[in-house]
Amino acid sequence: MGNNPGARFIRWGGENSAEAEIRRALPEVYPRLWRFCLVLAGRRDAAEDLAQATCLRAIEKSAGYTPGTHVDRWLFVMARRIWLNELRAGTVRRGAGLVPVEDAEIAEEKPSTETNILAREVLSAMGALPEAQRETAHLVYVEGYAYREAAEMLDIPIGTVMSRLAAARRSLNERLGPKETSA
Amino acid sequence: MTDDRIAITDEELTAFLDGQADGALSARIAAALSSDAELARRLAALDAPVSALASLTPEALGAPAPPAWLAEPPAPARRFALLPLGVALAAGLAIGVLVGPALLATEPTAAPEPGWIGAVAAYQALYGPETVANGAQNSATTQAVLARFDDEFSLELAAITQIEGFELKRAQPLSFKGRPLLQVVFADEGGAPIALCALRVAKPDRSAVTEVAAGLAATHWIKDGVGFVVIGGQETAVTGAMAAQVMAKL
Repeated sequence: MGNNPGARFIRWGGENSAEAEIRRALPEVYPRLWRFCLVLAGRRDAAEDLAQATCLRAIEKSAGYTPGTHVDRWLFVMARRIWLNELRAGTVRRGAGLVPVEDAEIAEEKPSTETNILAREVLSAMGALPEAQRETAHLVYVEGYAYREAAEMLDIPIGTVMSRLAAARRSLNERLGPKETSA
Repeated sequence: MTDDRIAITDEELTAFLDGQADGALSARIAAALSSDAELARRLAALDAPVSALASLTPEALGAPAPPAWLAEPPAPARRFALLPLGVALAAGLAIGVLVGPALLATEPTAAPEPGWIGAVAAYQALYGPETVANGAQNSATTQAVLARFDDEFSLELAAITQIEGFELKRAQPLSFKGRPLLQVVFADEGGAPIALCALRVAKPDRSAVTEVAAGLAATHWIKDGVGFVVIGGQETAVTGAMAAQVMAKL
């Protein structure tokens, strides 16, 4: 969690080391950051703009990062904040949903291998989830964060994480689960 | 065990499936499952193949390469964020991403929109040399985006892919208040981003005006019901020159 007192001291005097750590981490974290942005924004071009805006903001605000903690989580929180506070309003008005087919066909540069057919099906099932469930399921099932970590990043109680995941699991099971099962 | 059975919630079953239930809860659920068909049915309803979500790797999704500027050491003077980023993003709210093609057909052109150039300027302020330093979009994608706007604007936009002194980087559909807005991003010879944006507007033709909008040089005009703006950098001579080329081609 990085709450040791030592880390706090570093934070005050260490903007430069914070910025250096962020800059070092950004190229490596960028693909995952972009993926999270895709799940938030629902479109590849918007995801890229959001991911880049997050990188710029992260460097600008590096003084707010505690060196030696988790750059990836800090970046995800920042991306989500930019999305919720500054960008989402423009898209939600026009209806949410991941990658409309028509747009995907003209405005995408995507490979089309077998694995990507599965990925697209899964992404489409994720896209059908309400936003709160979608981001929670992403952090836990795609990123692999523990409930407690996801709760901290989303700034919600752990019980809310669990109820969102339960709802997400029911929806995902209807879309992706075995069709022959009838208990 | 009836009390236990009632007490087990879907949230607890979820934690059980996710391996995040503690030992006592796991034991309680395992014991109850052996005698409670309804609980087993609820568990099955929650037992989605969430491991499939791990297939969403950045590679499988075709994640773009990190922007080139991320790999570089800090520039001596930061040239990105020409406006404070927060200001730019907040003002840029008006430009969202175009979500559905249905909007192309359903949004009639309404009253004049004095604000669209300001919104474009705010969005453009997000771009710096670093953000266009990567390679260009593939030309098939560019052509497809432009072709879509050919119908919207009754123009042949392929003509603007070759602008002397500028390299085309990307064409993308944005929207302004629900109306389709075309953004075509170029890099000038120094690598700085400059964009041509176009939006259908209900206004008479107007010849080119060059000014500074939100700290960026901008040249804008209206022709046949389409508003155009060339915007980027601080040199109004540059936007004016690019605008002249675009006007000659369209």
